[in-house]
Amino acid sequence: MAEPSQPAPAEGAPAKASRRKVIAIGLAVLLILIGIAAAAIYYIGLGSTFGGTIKVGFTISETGTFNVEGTNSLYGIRTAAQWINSHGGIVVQGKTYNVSLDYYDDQSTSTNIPQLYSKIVQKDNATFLLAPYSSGLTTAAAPIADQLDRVMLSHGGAADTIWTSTTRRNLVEVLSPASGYLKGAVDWIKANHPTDKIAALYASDSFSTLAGTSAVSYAQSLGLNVVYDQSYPATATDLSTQLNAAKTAGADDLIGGGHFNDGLLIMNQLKTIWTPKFVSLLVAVTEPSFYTQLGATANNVTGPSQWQAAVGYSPTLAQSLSLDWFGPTPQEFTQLYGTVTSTPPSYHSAEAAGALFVLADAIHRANSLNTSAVRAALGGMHVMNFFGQFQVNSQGLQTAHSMVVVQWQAGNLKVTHPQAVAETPLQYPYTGA
Amino acid sequence: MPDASAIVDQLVFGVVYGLLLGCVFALLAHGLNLIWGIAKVVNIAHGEFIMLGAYGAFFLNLSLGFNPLQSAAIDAVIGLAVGLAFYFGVLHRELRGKEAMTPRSEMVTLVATFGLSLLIANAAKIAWTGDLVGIPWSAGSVSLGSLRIPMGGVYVAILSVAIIFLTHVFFTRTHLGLAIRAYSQDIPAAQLQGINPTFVSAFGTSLGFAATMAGGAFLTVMFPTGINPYMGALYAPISYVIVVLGGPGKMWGSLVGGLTLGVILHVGQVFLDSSIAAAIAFLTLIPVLIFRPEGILR
Repeated sequence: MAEPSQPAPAEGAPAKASRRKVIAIGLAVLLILIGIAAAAIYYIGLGSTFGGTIKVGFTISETGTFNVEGTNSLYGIRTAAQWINSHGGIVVQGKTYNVSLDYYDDQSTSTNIPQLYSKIVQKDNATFLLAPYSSGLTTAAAPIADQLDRVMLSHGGAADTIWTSTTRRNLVEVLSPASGYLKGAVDWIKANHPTDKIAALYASDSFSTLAGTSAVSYAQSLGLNVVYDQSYPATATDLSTQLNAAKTAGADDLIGGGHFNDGLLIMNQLKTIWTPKFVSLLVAVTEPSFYTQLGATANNVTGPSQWQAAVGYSPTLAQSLSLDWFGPTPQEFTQLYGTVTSTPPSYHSAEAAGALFVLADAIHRANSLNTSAVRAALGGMHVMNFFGQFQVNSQGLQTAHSMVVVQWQAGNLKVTHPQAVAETPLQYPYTGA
Repeated sequence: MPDASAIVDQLVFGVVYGLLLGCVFALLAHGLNLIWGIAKVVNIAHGEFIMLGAYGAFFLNLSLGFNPLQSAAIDAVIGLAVGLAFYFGVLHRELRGKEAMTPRSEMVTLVATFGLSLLIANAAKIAWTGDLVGIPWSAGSVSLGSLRIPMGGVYVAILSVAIIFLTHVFFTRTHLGLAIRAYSQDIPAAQLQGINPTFVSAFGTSLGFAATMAGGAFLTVMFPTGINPYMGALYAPISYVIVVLGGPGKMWGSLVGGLTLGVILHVGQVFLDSSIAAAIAFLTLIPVLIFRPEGILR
């Protein structure tokens, strides 16, 4: 019986399979090579423009007496860093640097400052510094900037004496100095109610004392009648005696205060002691929580503000003044700030953000990360950003930034003075509700 | 230079506000005095329990909308429970079976309450942060001539005195109150009368804590901002000074001491810087200690 015949294998099949395999391997190798080449080109390309990060160190008052101002300042700084990094970073010698933030809670306590700033510079290797919030804490931080050779921008330390009492090499002020804080309120009284008698009651810390005493001198120089002039400890929990003394001295208007918590204390105690015709308080009034905590009692209370979104600083305005512009517009800043926190920006948010924009601008202009070069650039700048103008004198004290008077009106904070930038006229008298 | 009528107005204001504040100070000191008088323990953590009373009022206002007067009642009940926990957790082990406070027991309770004060203040700092908070409550004011008197202050002053008065009635007119007094005067004699020393001592101590925490709630009316984890460091020394001024263990002495300190603080500020006025108020302790170490009241 013949065996069934097997079909003969095709001769070309193994060779074809082998060829396909070779082609597949070849293609795979080619793809891998292309990938490697692309990655190499990308990294080589990136290496030529990306310089790394610039670490900006600071302490901020997330807790303690200045927690409200400090927290808002921190939101502002984070917003500014976000804007800088999403708009190409800072270019230095052809390389792009992103900003990274290195910060600690100083608990509003000056004794924490030296240790924390030393750590920020020596351990964390921060290249540039922002000052803490408040004049007292800035005074404590300023010597470290000089000792450890770092540029430090002050965004919340406004007392002129920080710069005038000693030589500061590396500390630069971004906001208007304390001596000018209450001048707007005095100007308004002089222009509208020159016969009003004024009581000045202010905290005894350096910033508030300077703001209060400067306002008293200024009012007297304008011929206004100051019938009460008193300071109180910054940690005071009861000001009823002082407020009653101001009232019995015959005062019509009250100016002064200090920071957020004592501003709130004054307003709470005024409820049962005295209803001045005009109230202008430092710092506290511009915080959104001033109204949320006081409600209608806050209406018609005025205060100085370093910044309001309604005051239209813009690239066009900068151009008309022949100034360079850097950073977002006030509207862009406010919009971006909304991605960081749900509360609207206060002037503390703006001045802190403004400080970081000024620093970024100065680093870019210096085209260097060297402390002396950046400090020199800061000394020569007269620029504008969303926070307003920036120019400092040889001491590092701000000379170009200007302030406005704001007032709570039916739950909204309005710019009321000077007239040129006012959104609405200032409402007078204060009624207590 | 202010005229005479302005000075008189300020003095009247200082006296009235000083009396109102003094009543609340008296209640704070009354709480300390009870613990001191009954258990013979100097509670170093006294300020921290004032702080807990103030925070209790703050959180009750925040979550349930209670005003500090309503919160004080709840604080007092919590204070009773806290007092019992304090007694059995800190004091009982050291005091039980003793016929009198020994120097060793004094040292142990001092150190224990000191440690407790640090623990409570720092735990509060971690839990509630160091932020200053306050209660936005006002009961309005009444005008008497040029003087405006805050009704909130009047209410807490009246309630503070009422609590001291009721405590006095309790200790002089009730069987339990008399038993606590007997225990505080002579432990062996009280035991011979069938009084349970642990029960009366624990209950008396708890009353002290109830008064202290209610006083903490009242304090938030007088000082509308300023509740913070370290506020005890301010009010504990005030309580100690008042107890010494009025006489340790003397219930009405707390009221006399509190009113004295409140008036000195407020009237002093009419003429002097507030820091100096506070220093002078504390300095009054020195002549009292020299000439009347048993306190202003006989």
